[in-house]
Amino acid sequence: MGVEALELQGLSIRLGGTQILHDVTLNVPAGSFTCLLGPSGCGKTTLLRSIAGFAPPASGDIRLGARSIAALPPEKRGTAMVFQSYALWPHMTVAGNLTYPLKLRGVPRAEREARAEAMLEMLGLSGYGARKVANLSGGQRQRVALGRALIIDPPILLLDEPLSNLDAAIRRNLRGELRRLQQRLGITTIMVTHDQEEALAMADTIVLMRAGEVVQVAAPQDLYTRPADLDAGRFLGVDNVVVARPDDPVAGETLGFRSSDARIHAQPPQNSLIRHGTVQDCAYTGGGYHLQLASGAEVISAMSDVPVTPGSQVCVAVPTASLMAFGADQKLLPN
Amino acid sequence: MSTVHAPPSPLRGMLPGLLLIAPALLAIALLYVVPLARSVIFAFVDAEGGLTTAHLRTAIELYGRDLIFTVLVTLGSLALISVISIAIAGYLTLGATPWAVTALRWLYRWPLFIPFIVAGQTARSFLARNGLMNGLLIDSGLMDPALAQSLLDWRGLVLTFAWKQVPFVTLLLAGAMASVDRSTIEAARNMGAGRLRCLLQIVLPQVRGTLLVGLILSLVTILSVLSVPLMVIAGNPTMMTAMMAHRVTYYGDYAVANALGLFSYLITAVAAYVYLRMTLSQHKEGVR
Ligand SMILES: Nc1ncnc2c1ncn2[C@@H]1O[C@H](COP(=O)(O)OP(=O)(O)OP(=O)(O)O)[C@@H](O)[C@H]1O
Ligand SMILES: [Mg+2]
Repeated sequence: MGVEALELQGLSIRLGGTQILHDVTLNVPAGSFTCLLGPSGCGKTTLLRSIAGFAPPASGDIRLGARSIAALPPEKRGTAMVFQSYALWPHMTVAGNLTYPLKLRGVPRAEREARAEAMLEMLGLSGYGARKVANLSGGQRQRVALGRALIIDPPILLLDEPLSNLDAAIRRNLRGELRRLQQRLGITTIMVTHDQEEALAMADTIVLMRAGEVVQVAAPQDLYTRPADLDAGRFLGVDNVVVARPDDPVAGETLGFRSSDARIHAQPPQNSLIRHGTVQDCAYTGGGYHLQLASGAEVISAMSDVPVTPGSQVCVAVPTASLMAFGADQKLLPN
Repeated sequence: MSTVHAPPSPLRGMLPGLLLIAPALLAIALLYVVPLARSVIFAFVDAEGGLTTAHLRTAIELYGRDLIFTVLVTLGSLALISVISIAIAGYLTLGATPWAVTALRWLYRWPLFIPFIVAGQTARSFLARNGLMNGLLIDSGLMDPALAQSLLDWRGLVLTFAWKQVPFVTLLLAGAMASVDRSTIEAARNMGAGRLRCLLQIVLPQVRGTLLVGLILSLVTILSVLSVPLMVIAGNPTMMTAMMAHRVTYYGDYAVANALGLFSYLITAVAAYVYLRMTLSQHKEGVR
């Protein structure tokens, strides 16, 4: 079917009398990998389901390539969705799950089987065709679900937290595999996740959502270094927020930074935010020591290469490049 | 304290369990197995107490046609019941018009609360040659009065049994369909399957065990209902229940009635076998 771009224009969704999505506008370029990132309950799944046709829009339009798909029933949209629970058909074999979408499209039997075989090969599941899906492991099911979506050559692939049910090792593995596969096939992909690490590692573009609204659309590096506001920053791991002082290297109402960027120094370095404080707690975290400091009324967390005894006075410094300045309205200030 | 503790006998260990199931076992034995065995035995015993197949032969000779009629009517009813219950339960599960689904959910259960005898009576006045149905059809101009015919034959039986059993099977089926993982249905629609395909190829295969249970229970009911054949059809051939009642009340001939009963047992036994085989294979799959 070829790769197509997706466009959401002022999309609003109401479910059970409450407004879930507010006026979402979004452009997903053809062939890109876009992640929907946001806290639980912010409407990521609902957005994906509305693209697939399972949540009728109250207003707005959904366009795939040149045509509007907002009024089409799910079976006419041609989007391929991988459900969070995989939703494999339990009464069919692995091969049956892969060939059924082709059967629906009237592909002749011999070709169906050949394509299912090729897909199993690509997914690293050769020889699993005759298995019942109930007898597969979580990772294998996830691959079958992915294969079932890919086998129809969809114009757009929708993934709803496809990796969240898996343990950390398989997850990291599949993350790379999924990304490589997407790049090889060049298929327009939207993936939902609430794991920022996953989004940063995989996406071309990240769409940050909050309470049914799009807060920020940016490339991973930009989102990580320049979150749109304090709340977005907190969601992306900015765990320190201090009130700015006149002698600080950047101006703003509050300054945010990550504890991994805050280091203990004997001599305060140049070009940095400097704070003094009393160590309250020191815990080993693998790569180094994580400290909690009391600095006046503020609590700062920082990293240190060596253990520090609680109670000692230290100086913590954050390089200017790692600082984010927020205004009185909590929005990020331009630098 | 010099007594040596004997190892507890296996029977001792089983005693509480045996006590617990004893009432149930006794009830099954007294109310079910004994009468069943008696009627099976008496189907083969002649007046002098010797073994004979005469009753069986008489039963086949006199009622062979009724037997085949019974089997065909039953199969016809079950086919109609399946089609209608699948359609109703499917609409309840996949229907897109909320008010229609709600209305249907309210309506379909009513026949459950109507006794068979009343159902038979209603069918009689509805399906007769000058009954309500033909009256409506003629009044509305849909049918030529000369073509009006009575449906009080095998068709009346099939319709009445279906009308009475559809709500029951639908109730079971709709419950099972409601517990099917909805995302499997959504996945099918997402892959391009329309509603009807979803029903037949995704939902139905996942609830076929429940459908089979409903049909087997309906089969047993149809084979044991006396009032419907008595009310709906007159003359020959008729259902086996009516013939058995006739044999007993008019001739006091329990032996041939027992022989007829034996055929009912055989039919239900086949159904029970199919059912057990299926549940066992499902169980095995679940264990694997
Ligand atoms: N059918 C529905 N009727 C009413 N409200 C709903 C319905 N489905 C979802 N919601 C509400 O919509 C909001 C967004 O739900 P959604 O499932 O899209 O969240 P999510 O971002 O995917 O969260 P998670 O990360 O936990 O999966 C939630 O507050 C939820 O309660
Ligand atoms: Mg979700």
